[in-house]
Amino acid sequence: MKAKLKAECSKEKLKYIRGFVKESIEILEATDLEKEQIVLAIDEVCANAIIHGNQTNDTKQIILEIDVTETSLKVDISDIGLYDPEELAGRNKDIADIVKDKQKGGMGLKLVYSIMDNVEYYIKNNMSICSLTKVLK
Amino acid sequence: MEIFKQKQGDSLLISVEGELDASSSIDMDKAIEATINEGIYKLLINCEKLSYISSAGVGVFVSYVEDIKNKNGKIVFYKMQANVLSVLQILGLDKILSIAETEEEAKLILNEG
Repeated sequence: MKAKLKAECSKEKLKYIRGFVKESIEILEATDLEKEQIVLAIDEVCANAIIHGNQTNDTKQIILEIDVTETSLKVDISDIGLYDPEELAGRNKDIADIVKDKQKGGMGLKLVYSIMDNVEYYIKNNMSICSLTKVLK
Repeated sequence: MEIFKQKQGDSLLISVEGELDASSSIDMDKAIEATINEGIYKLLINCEKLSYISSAGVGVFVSYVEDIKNKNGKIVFYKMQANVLSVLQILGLDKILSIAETEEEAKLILNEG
């Protein structure tokens, strides 16, 4: 099953996006907790794109394209913003150091990389794309 | 998301209801900042009705842990739902933050050494 959503780059849209994702991955034969974690991973990528990639400019959009079967999931999140490679590298920082440094950020991508099987960032046709995949074992 | 505050002696009980994400985390940040500015460094966080947390929500709590510790205070979370607890477990924060199952246990942790 395929599903597509376009949403404005506003933080207030995140709840709506999570609802769309939750509904779209319903057929995935995963536990409720696994599905909630997948929704979280997608929420994190969308929040990064909205806040960091597009500075919550609601005249811009992010596009979610979901391709899901009972046992596999592929999600492409596209926007015209630019991702920060340093932010991607920051996911490797030790959690104890994040606490010590009083950081509010730097944990989202840790979650994304832990929950999904594969995470890929690339640029195609002037769009930044984050491609997430998960195959159930 | 809704935040309810209740002063209990020298500590503050904060009950969180709903979803704590990149949008609503600003309100939680303000609530904790206001508490610290009042000189209260012992915080109990009732998570029974917290149905969702993203890294932005986690980040708010994490960013105050050191300041609160330096004031001999503590943040103790309790009654976490499985999905919320799993976020902290994935990050390894379940080993760093104080997490209790019940309010009674949380109060004991809050007031110990």
